[in-house]
Amino acid sequence: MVVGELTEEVQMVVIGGGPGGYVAAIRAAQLGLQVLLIEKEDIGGVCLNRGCIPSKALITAAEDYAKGKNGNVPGIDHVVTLDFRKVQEWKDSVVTKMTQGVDMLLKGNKVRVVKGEAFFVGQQEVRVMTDTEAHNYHFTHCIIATGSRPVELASLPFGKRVLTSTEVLALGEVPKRLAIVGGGYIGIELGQAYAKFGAKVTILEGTPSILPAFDPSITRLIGRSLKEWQVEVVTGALAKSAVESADEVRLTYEVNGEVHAVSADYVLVTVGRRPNTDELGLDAAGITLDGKGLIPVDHQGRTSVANIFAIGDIVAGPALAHKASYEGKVAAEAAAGMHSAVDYACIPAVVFADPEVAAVGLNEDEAGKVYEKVKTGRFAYGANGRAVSMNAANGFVKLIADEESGVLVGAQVVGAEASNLIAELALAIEMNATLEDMALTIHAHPTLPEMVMETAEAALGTPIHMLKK
Amino acid sequence: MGVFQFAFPELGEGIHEGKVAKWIVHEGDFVREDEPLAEVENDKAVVEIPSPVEGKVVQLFFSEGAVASVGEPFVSIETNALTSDDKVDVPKTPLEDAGLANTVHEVKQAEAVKVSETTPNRAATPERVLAIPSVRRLARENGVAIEEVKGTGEHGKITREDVLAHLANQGRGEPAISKSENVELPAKEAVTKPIFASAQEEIVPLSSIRRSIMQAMVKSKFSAPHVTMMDEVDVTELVSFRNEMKQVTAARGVKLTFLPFIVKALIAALKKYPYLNAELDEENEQIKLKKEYHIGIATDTDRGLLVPVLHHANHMSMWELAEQITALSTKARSGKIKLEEMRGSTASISNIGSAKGLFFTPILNYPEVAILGVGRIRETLLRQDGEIVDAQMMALSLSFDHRVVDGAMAQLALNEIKAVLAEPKRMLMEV
Ligand SMILES: Cc1cc2nc3c(=O)[nH]c(=O)nc-3n(C[C@H](O)[C@H](O)[C@H](O)COP(=O)(O)OP(=O)(O)OC[C@H]3O[C@@H](n4cnc5c(N)ncnc54)[C@H](O)[C@@H]3O)c2cc1C
Repeated sequence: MVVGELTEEVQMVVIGGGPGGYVAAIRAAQLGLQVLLIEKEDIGGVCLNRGCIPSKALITAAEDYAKGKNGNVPGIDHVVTLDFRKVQEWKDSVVTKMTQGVDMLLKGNKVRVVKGEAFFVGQQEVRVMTDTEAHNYHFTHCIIATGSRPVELASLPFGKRVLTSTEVLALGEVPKRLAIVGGGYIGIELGQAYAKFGAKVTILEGTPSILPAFDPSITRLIGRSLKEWQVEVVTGALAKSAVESADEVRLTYEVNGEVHAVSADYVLVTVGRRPNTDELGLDAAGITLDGKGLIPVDHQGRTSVANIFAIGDIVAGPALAHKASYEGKVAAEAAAGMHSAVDYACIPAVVFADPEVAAVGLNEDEAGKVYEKVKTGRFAYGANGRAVSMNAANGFVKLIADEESGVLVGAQVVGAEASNLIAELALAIEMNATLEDMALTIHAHPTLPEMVMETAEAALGTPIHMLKK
Repeated sequence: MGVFQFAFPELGEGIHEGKVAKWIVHEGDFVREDEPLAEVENDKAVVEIPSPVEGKVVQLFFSEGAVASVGEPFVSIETNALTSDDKVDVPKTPLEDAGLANTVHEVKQAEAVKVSETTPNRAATPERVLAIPSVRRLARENGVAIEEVKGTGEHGKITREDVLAHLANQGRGEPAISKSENVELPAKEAVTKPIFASAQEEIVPLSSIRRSIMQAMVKSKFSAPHVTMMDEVDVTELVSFRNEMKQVTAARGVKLTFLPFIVKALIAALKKYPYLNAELDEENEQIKLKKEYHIGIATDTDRGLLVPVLHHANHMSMWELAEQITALSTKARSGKIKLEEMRGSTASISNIGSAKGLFFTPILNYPEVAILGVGRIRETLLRQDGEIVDAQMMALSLSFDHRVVDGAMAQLALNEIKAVLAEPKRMLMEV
């Protein structure tokens, strides 16, 4: 036993400092609870350190470089050089800025941060291990927000050249050839970014389509764009093995029973993420996991143990930072005695591909199963003044509404700034806006959001900047 | 062929029932869409109820003269257009045009849901309840299942008012609206959450009253820097006066405590020093001097501290004060007090004497400027004009908002309270 083991009393322990945990900690502190946040690595979690933020920084850099090199607007020629190390330094500085900001917020809200790895030793107690010591905390409430880590394939164990997204985000130089196993959003985002930096990228996807969660009309557009960047996409491909040698890795895969191989500097394996729930001592807390390793929770994020909540990537639903943060606020409020509940009508999802993809609510098929009749509208970027003047005429906005009431139930956007356009549509769904409401809202000209108005008009049959078929 | 159940429709905003004055159709009649079925009378008018569908009248559910309420089965009509498994495609009726079509709409929706249950290609997910996030939160905070609320908005959209109306219908009294500064309704207890207990401690979730007290105290303590003046007053005369009055009061069936006297004395002081019956409007940098005297009486109840208010206490006789205080505290203790009865006080009294307390530092009932704390009366020996006399001393603690009032004025006000209490005759001059 460790000598001098201490147990300290705290009102609220939050385990994990990602977008779920740190947001929960701040909200709990705002509500007057005394909060201890335990983080074993870096405040900000995957999102700020190894996910959303660094990947978006690299994507922006890649886009800048590509535009510079290929010229966005005819008549402007550039001589562009790339110092990838400097790019990486800048990306790191973005991460540092953001995590320092979170540190400051935690401090300002009087959240105590403890560095170490936590695990449960009882229903009201965790032990926190640091390199040198162990310390126990006895709590009234606890929020678990330990997030997820990349799934490792037995056939492709991680090594020097078989990497997770974390290492690929931190490469010191642009690889000449990059093979990616997994055509989900992380694979597409990183693959396309490195292709723009000049890598020869191959993406292997096991199902018949990349971005399987999205509509075929969307994946077709992305597929076309990947082709333009000379990214080779192989669908229905089953990765078999990867053999590392001194200066490359050879990846074998099977398509329709035929074996193929591709050589690359690195293989990125991004086939999903698994919840960090296996080493938490949840047994001691009396919490049982479901078949996927997720923690079952109720509408407030409460686990089967009433004073312990779970949020973010370790509970059901899409593994997204904004979902984690939303759930974090609800759980903190519930712990503080408020009647908050996870009660969203929709969660937007974005893929920072080129062009960007964003979706919220139901797609047309899903809506057809819920509503008797649905009404849709579609409007092309090519007919929008701002899109054309940005030289970004590729893409569309699609709205899906309940025909009887006209209430918006889903929306999809593909094209420049789709990630920003989707916010208005999420708000519209939460506010039960109808197609008419959207059509009657004046949108500034010339802007991309005008397309939302135009799409609503299109659904109603009266688009101005589009001829009815 | 199917039978269409026509439920009694809403006749207008807020009209929930009507008397069947006359049936225009009879069982077995054929009726066309939009043709009148009956004349219905309410306190405003007589209206004709048109048929929403075409078909043969099977059954009239009310006899003439009977009162029908919204939603009750009214008429059943056999139609050609429908089979019982079919979706009821209710044609638009003048009712709908008149905005009276809620019920028709409901029947339609209920049928539509039924269809979706039996049709395999329909998802199990029900259609979303139309209500914006803040309204959903309001419902949650008041323990209302949003699905049960009747929406009056377009397409059955549930508004804030609908949730409040639903609550009122449930007889739950006033809703808890988050962040209200006032004490929450005692009638509504917080929905108790599962309690997790360990051997060393018991976890008790905050009740809604406790939470309101918590918020009110924090707000007061941290927004208004207050100071407490403590003093004693010789109430020997008052004590004997009250003893004298005991018979009279008993005969009247009134319990006469010292509180009515204290209310009188406080009002006398507030009139003389109006800055103590005031409110600081920080935003506009002004002080509002209140011309009426609504005195809050801090009352201990099983659920926690409540502050019922003697509205216009300055117009009340001693009898009325005594009766009102008893009535309000009984209501507060039994949880029957209304929100209005706990609002609008301009200054307060907190009595710790009944629990044998002496001096203390009362927290202001924010945004009031003053609160008078009353301690117990104790017998003591007093040196008066060189003689030792028996005296009954009452402890007083006056807290005031130092942003509005300074110490000297507060003490002068306290002196005025003392003067009135020391010499009950003066109260005659204060009525
Ligand atoms: C490359 C990449 C790009 C992404 N891009 C996006 C995007 O654009 N948009 C988006 O919404 N999402 C994105 N995501 C997903 C997003 O990062 C996650 O959904 C989000 O971080 C989940 O938040 P969380 O709080 O649940 O957990 P995490 O962010 O995973 O944080 C959990 C934290 O808990 C700590 N922890 C774990 N176990 C313990 C323990 N026992 N004791 C103490 N601390 C512990 C971990 O160190 C970690 O810091 C991306 C992910 C990746 C990998």
